[in-house]
Amino acid sequence: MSLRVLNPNAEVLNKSAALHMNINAAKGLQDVVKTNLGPKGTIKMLVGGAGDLKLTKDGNTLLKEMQIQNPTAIMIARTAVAQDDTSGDGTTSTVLFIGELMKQSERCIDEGTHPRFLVDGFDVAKRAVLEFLEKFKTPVVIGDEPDRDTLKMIARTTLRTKLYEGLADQLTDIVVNAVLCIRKPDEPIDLFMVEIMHMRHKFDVDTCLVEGLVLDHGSRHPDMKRRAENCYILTCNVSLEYEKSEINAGFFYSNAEQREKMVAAERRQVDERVKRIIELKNKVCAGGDKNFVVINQKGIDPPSLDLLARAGIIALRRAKRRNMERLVLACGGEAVNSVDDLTEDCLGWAGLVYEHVLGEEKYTFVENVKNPRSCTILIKGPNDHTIAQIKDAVRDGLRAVKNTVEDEAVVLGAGAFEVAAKKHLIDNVKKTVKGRAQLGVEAFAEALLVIPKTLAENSGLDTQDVIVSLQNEHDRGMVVGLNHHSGDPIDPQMEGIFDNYSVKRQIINSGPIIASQLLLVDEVIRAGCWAFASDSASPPAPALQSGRRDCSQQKQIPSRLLLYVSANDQVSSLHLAHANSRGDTHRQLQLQRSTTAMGTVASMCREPMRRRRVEKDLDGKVAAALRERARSRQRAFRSVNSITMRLPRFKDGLRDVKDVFDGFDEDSDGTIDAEELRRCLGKLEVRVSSSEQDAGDLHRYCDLDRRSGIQFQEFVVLLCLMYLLFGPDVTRRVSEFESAKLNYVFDELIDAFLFFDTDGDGQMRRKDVTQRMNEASHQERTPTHITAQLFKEMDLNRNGKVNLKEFLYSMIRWAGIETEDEGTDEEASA
Amino acid sequence: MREVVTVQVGGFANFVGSHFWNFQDELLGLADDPSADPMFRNAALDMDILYRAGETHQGVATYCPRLVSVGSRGVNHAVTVFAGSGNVTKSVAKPHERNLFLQSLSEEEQNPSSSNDQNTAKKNVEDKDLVESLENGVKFWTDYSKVQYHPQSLYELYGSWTDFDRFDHYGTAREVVSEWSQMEEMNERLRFFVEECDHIQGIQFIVDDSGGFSSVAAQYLESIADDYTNTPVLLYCVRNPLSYGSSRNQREAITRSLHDAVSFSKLSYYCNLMVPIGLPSLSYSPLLSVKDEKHFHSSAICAAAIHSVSVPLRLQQVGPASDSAHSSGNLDIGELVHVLSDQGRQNMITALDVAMPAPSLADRKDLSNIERSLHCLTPETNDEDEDPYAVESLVVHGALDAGGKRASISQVKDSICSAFEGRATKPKFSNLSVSSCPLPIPLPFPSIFSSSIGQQGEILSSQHPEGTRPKGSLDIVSVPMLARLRSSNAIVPFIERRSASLQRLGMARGTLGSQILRDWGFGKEEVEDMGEHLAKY
Repeated sequence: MSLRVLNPNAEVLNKSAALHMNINAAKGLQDVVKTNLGPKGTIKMLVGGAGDLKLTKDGNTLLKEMQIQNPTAIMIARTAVAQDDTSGDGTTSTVLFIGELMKQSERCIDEGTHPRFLVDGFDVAKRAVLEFLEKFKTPVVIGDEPDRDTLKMIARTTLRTKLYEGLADQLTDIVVNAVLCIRKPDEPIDLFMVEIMHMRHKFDVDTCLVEGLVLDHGSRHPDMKRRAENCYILTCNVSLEYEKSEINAGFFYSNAEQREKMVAAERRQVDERVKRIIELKNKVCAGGDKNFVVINQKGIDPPSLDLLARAGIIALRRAKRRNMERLVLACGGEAVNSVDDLTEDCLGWAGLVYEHVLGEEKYTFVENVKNPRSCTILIKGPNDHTIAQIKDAVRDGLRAVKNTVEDEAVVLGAGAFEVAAKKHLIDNVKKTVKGRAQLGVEAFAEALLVIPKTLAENSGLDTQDVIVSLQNEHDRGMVVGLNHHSGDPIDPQMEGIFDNYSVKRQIINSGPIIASQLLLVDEVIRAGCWAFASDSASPPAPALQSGRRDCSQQKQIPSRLLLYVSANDQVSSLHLAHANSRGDTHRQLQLQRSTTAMGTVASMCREPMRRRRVEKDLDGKVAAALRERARSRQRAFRSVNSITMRLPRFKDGLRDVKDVFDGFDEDSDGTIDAEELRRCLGKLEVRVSSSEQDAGDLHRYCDLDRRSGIQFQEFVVLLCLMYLLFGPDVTRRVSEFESAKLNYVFDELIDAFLFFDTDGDGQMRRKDVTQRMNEASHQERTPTHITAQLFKEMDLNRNGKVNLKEFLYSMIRWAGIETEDEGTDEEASA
Repeated sequence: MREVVTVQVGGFANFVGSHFWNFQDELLGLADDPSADPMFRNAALDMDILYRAGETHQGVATYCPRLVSVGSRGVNHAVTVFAGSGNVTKSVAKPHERNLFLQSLSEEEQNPSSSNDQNTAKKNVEDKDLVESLENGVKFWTDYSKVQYHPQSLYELYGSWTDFDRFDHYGTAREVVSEWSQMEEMNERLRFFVEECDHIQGIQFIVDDSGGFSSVAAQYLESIADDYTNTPVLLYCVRNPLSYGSSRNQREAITRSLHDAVSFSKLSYYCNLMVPIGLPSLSYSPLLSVKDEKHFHSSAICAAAIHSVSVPLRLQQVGPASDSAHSSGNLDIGELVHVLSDQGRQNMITALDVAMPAPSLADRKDLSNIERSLHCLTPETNDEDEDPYAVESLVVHGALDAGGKRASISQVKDSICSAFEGRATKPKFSNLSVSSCPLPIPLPFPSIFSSSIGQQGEILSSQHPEGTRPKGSLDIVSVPMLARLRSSNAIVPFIERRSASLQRLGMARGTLGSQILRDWGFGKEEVEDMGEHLAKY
């Protein structure tokens, strides 16, 4: 498989395995939430690591709180939660529907149907059902005075699926009244204008609707009244505390008196503001039994509180920002940002303001307001999880009512719609579809039945019986739903069971889309950077063969050279892989493996003195030549990548040297011995030193590997060194023909060395290599262990430095110039 | 009353905070303990500034920190849905076991009479075990916290699609930040504490800026700046040494430098004074032996430094000319900000230096030591060239005189002043706050002191023969501290690097960096704004 080649560590599931993984995940998720559907659904208890509990039936909460790991399940869960975000309900139904679609498809696929037909069928069926829904829905007239009963029915249907019946019925009124309270004709409903406040106090049935506002803080002065009737409400955002002026001017004072004066001067400003408020209070409250309440978004400090308290004003500080908006809607008036704007018209009105204290928590109730456009649902409950449960339910209830008001339609519930839609699909739609897509329509129709089926199952009824009796009724032309008490068919209209139109629409819309996408998945690929991190658990032979490459994203192969060394203990091999953008045709130039050829040159150190001296001498010459060259030539390479790119060209250029080598290798044993070398040097007309033992020294100098004699690769090194030392004449004498090409290659090679040798002393160190490897490549940083390994392979004599000959030797090997006896050599070393 | 509200956001910030509150708790305990050093009893530190008094539903009085701590939910309600061969496995996360220390705390709560004098010996042995278990087994910041928090204080972020284990860059918190209800809830928690304050002096904000939490914090700071306009915010950006680990590939490296740049820009925008803390390695001093890989260790140092900086914020307010016997030089956050950021360089990013423990004042000649003993906790600073416009605020508390006696306030002032007079380059402005109360070492404090430190935190001249085992809370009762906030050009490399990486990686067209920024939800204009904002410093 192509991906395997591209990234051997990628985990791949193909065709049927991928499909079945998706189907199983969908079914698994369905199983989890299945039991929660409907009024008779059961409750899940979620236990956290710290022992915290959550009891819920709400699919949305459940999916959000659970940690899901399976990728398919995450996708489905996300769709379902998105459903909740847009329409406020239907999470469980979405999961069930997707699960059932997958289940039905599985049956067809196992019989050999291609998923594509099913998907086509789904598409047709979806459109048909949406059309059918338009006809099937029950319009609701929402005029200036909406039909409270319909709204109540729909709120009840939603709430009963979340809470027990008694509480749900109580909340129904609260929820409907809350929405009607904040509704303004011809404006979208802003549910934020319903404040949801909770108190850990009394019982869940004490939850109530406050027409007005409940604030979660109280006045901070002991002399302020705890209860006041007939109140003017001043909503303001004015700082009533002493603050340092914001301008940074230096004040200097030399004694305590001056300081006092300065503070007093700054203080006076604040007092001025307080006085303006008191003036207004005195004006409006003159002579009556009226009271005055200030609710401020900013702080009020104790001196200001004191002044206000003395004037008989109740003052609250640091009100929630959103409450400022709500207060104005609830009490009237307007929010004031500066005391200069104070007039009587800014004031709101509330019949009753009082404080309720629970432990250290204080609540201030602002009630009996005229024409409230904002209200508070005050949730009470004995413990946190009850409160959380009610809170979730109230939220959904509000959404359901809001949806109805906006849709101006509802849909018959209790499974009636699903059964009717299925009948419609089978009877009317299926005939219009040609070919195998019919199977898709059929599967879709079957899948719709999951809702009534699950309802029946959760009520402890027999699924088959229920479905059969429902379908019979529908065949007779009656639109019926399921009575979950008795299992008999009922008319949902009579019972007042309605679902939201927009919720149903959303389910029908989003379910098949996600199911289709999952069905059309033919491969699941897990690949990425993290695959590289976990390499201990790994790779069998084939992975090693092709080298491990980093594939940054799924199926994205960067079109450049990747340099990789697999860090394996036994075999350390260097691969240069050239992966081009058409991933499958990547070329791989892996020619030399096994460290043995190069890793065992340690014996070099135990050589006679003279030889070391000669070596040093030659090294010196080479270094001097290099320095000279570095001065005279411009820097040719800018990045490692540009060097690695050239490798194939080096190979081409050096191919012909093989003939030259064969020419010198007179006895054709693949090596040039000392005698042969002497003749060779004679032909090249070069003299390295005045000594007679010239050729012998050079021979030893260039014999880089453990095998005696100069093999082809070493010969190339030799030539290159000669070229460096004696100029282009050498190559011309080697071969007139190839001279230009060889010169080019040698120039490049030497430049490459100069690129790495940053300080120009003829030797490269590890840090140079690391630095160079990482500096110019913007895309990727080469891991340290790779550069380390790379350096180790170049450093043949293990002295921590790489000189030109070692570098050349390694480059030539990587470029893939083979020696003939490669195979035998490996056997020998093994 | 000049209240301070503390906010901690993020994993390491909570580690630091936990130590910080342990110090405060220890101070409270020592103030009531007749057998303790009288310095603690007379200490002029006003704890009401950090703490609030309240009562529970049952009417029991409580005294808890004014704190909002934001963390990630430790372990999710882990129900794993796994589909392998068609069967569904549901697994419920195992609750974490409480460690020895927490067990002993809850035991003590149940029978408070058990800790009387006759079994002191036995108790000591137990303490040793406790210290041992903490030394090896701290995984969460709650493991060593001995403070009672208010239920409103602790807030856990949750995000069903957010993986808090890989919460390592600015973009990861998008879901959390965009969800209105969580930010609202966090603001509510803060409002609860602020509303109670009669006269709030400022907000002390500790954030772990090494990961996604800096995005949460930036959002939080923004709403704080909106809601409490004139309340100064003192921001500490802490990060643990591990967050500097080398990155695996280029993409990660780019992500990280962009994260640093973006979070620095965003965080500094909405605060009044910013103090970056957190070196790649904290084992800088021969007097301390810190294991960088342990959060328990590294956070202790940050917390000690933050404690020292906060000392002047709660010294008793006295007249400007007179000094009390125990303290001098009180400041509030507003003044501190004013002193450090509005003068000289107009620079609001300050470096924090700390000497833990502070050297003794005994040797008058050797006072240049003080300068040398200060070690910088802010990363990427450059001390080479002196800045004539530097402004600094120095805090000394619990300084010791010759022979391990406490130095008096005036003594400290005189000697420090004379030492600073002698400096070659003097800062433009320098503020000195002195308190006699040293840093108490609570029981759950890591053993990070070297063996040459005495019981009172004095530096013993000769190496003791008793081995090189690091000393911890059992051997050392308190240490003197010296801390300095410094606003000078030493911080320039820190800012420049961030500015440069934003320029280089984020703004260039079509690079990987700009792609990453787009993933994090920043438009081109926004990035340019950030770049300009950074360039201003």
